[in-house]
Amino acid sequence: MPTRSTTRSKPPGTAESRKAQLTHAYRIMTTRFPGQGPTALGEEKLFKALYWVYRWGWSSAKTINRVGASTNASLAARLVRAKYLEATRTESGLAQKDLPSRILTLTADGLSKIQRELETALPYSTEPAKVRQDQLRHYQMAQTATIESLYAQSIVAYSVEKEMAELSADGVKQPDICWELPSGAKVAVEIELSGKWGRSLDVFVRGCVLALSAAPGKPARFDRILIISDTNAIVTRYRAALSAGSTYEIWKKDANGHIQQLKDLTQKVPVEVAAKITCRKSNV
Amino acid sequence: MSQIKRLTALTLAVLLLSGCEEANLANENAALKAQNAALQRSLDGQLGVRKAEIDYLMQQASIAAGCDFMLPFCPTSIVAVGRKVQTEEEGIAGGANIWFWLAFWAKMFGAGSVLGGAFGSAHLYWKYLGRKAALATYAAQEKVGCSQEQQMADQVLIRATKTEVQMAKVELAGVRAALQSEQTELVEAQERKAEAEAAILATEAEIQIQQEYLLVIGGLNTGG
Repeated sequence: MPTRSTTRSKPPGTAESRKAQLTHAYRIMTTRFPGQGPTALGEEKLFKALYWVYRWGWSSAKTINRVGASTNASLAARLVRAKYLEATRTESGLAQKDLPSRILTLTADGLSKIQRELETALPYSTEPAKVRQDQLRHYQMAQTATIESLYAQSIVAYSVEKEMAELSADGVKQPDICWELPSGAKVAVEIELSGKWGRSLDVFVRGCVLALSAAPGKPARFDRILIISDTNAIVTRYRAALSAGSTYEIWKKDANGHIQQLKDLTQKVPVEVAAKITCRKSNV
Repeated sequence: MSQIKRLTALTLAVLLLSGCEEANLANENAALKAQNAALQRSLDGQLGVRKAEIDYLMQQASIAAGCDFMLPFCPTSIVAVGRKVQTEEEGIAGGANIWFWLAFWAKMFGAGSVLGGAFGSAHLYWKYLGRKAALATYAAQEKVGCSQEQQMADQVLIRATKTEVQMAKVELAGVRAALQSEQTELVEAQERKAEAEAAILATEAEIQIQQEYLLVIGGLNTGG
């Protein structure tokens, strides 16, 4: 985690000591980022941060600074000052410590700048009010888990929900995130902060089974499913529902548009599918 | 003989005319006797020569007569002298003496020998031709017989060959079936091998995925 700078003022000292500090900093920069000048390095950080917000829809200052590998909190603040990002106070504010007090969204300038750099466009609304406040914790966990996995190099790429929806427009349920492992395997990540019951749980389990099952001539959509929750009870519940041999029902709309349970079609979670599903409690 | 008679008469006349003188006569008679004896000796000599000539001519005439008896086909060199003697005025015709019969039988023997030789040769040649024809016939018959036997042997061989071919076809069909079976087994083995290799690759990939996945899970700040 980046360490927050204790002060923004220049450190006191003589001209010689400041010159020595600058020389040291330059040497570190040329070692970590060879071939890149300060301007290019700054542009790259800016692009990474804006692209992150563009993909996720919003982000927090803490996450943006992590994305930009900034050693202090200056990157998010600088992007806000540059009018690329807009900081909006959340409804909870500082009341909930596990939620960001402000969310950062792209401004029109920020959106224009990032779209100039990309070949494909994603749907994006620059209206902060459209960000669902009830899902801040959900996506905050998703972003944190993703950036930490990227930094740990345990994943090499990821796709957010709307990117997967762009690629698969057949209305199939999408996971919250899709992580790509170094081998190319795809891990569907579900952030579950509330328990599912009844039909909703059956639909979820069936979706997981279908996503991990290969069809004739068509490989499975995902290689693993990782369910992350912040509650042990929810983890235990999903773990039980997705264990090998657990049963679930099939639901379908009837002619009147009512969703009905199909009788005598109780399904079981296959062993090979259950082995590819992991439920974990995380404190991210 | 007539000459001798005339000489004797002449001598006697001389002696008679000279009778007067006996001594003379006796001398003359002695001379005449001596002369007569000499003449007689001369005559005897001539008579012997003439007799030898006559015997020779008689012999030749007999030979010619024998040769010309019944079938006159002796060579001219043999009968020329005899035939000449027969036609001359001496008229020596020859007789049925030994020379006559010797010549006759010699001729007959020669003719018989020639004829016998000719007939014998012809007979031998005839027998030779007959044997040659018989040999040719026998050879032809042998050939025909051999050909028939060869044909029968060929038919037997053909039947045996056909049987062998049939057996070979059956064996070949068996080999083909076995080969087909082995090929099928080989294809199935290759398919099983490919499936096993694919399964190994899938397992290795799964292990790789699992290792990477464990790193992902381990990297999470988990609490349970």
